[in-house]
Amino acid sequence: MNSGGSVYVIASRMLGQAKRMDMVADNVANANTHGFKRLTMDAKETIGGTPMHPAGSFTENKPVRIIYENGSLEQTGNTFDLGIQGEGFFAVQGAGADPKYTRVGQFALDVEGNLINMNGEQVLDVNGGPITLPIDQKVTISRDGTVSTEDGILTQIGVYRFDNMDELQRAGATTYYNNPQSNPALPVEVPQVFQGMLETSNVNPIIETVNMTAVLRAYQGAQRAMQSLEESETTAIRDLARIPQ
Amino acid sequence: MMSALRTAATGMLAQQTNVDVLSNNIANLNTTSFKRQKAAFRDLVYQTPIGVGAITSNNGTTTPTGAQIGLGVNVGAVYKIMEQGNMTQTENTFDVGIQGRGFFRITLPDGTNAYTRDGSFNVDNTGTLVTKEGYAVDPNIVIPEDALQITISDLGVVSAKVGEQVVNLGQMQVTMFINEAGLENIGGNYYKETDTSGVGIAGDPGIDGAGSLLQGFLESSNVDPITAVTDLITAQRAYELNSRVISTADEMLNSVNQIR
Repeated sequence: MNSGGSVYVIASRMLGQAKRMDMVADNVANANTHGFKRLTMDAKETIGGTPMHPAGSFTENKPVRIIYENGSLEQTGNTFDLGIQGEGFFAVQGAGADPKYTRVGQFALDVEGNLINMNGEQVLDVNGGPITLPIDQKVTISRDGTVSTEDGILTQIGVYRFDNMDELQRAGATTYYNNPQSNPALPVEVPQVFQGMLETSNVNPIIETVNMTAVLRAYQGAQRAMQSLEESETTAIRDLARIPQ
Repeated sequence: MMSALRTAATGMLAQQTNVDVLSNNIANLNTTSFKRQKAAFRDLVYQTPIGVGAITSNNGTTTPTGAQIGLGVNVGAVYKIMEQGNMTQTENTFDVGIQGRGFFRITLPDGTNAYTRDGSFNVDNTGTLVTKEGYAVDPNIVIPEDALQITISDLGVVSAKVGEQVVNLGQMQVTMFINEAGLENIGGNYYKETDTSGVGIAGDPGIDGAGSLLQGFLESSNVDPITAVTDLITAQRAYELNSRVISTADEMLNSVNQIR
């Protein structure tokens, strides 16, 4: 009788599904978060195992990937609400901090006239500097991020891309960190910036509902497998005990 | 214990706040000069079971993506959308709408200033131009008893015909803020200046970016009923989806309890 390994194999499946459920919950919680990018997770098999069951094959969770698919644009009519379609991120920088990157173009002016986001971080232009705008003029932001008033062009909002999107780390508040050495921010050549719009979350309720059902059934299946394993052990112990000496 | 349960709870709470904000907008569908509000969500901190770039072998191979799972959502801000509302004609002499940026400055009974775009003014027993609550418009405009045909020009000049003569009664001003969304709502369509809004810059209407005035008109609420209702539906569906996460996670935990 050697079921010790099997129990762990099944347990690894259940733990993996529980983690996947956590991920689904996070996606669903952010179904209305502007600029949010959903997560996905694939399972992978790990050969190896316990001393008791050396040939055991476990399921382990693969790294979680961020799906950068575009969300749709929602019209808000606010001068400083900006939505990006296609690739690229806005760059925002807090005082003394490294730049972070975000798809949320929910901006406003601070008392000095600097363009800031909802966390109070400054929005950066194409040259990585802050953007200062006049109070008394109507500001127009064109498709390529050019900021102008009736007096002419002022600056251009920076839209940056990365060669290795997988290396970005989520930093909370719907922003991302990059590694400036291995994965520097590069300017997007033809940005698609829309004024008065915000990009909605790319969480798809259908995908998440399917995921949720799949997770639940897989979890219950594993639980039943564990139960039948336990029953077969009970039977084995009972029947083996009946064998005459 | 799975974090899914608590994550879904943050989602439900956020959508509740969203519904609160939306229902306040809908309630103010017909409030003069009301500015609709919007809840801004942001994702929460991340658990990082596998870091990006973690070393996976002695030969220097690293994980390309890592594994970061977030812990839900919270309301980052509820902000005002200062979009211009439509102008509704009232034919009232003392109804004044602002077309463009800026606010009327009002003196509250305690002597401090408040700001409003609701220009449904009246005159009190001393002839002073006041709001519906009787708060004086700053700078004060006093209308003589025998004044006829009071005209407020788009540049804010108040004049009246007294006898045979046209008399200039004063200049109305509008105050602009660098960050209008940072003004504090104090109810009654009034706003207060804050550190975030910046100091108000008073000027004559129609000059240096300030909005011009329109006599006999009032600015309607900028709540659009169609958007308000679609937003409400979206919020409700998101709420339902989150509650579904909770019941799924609950079933998963229940099935663990069935393991003997």
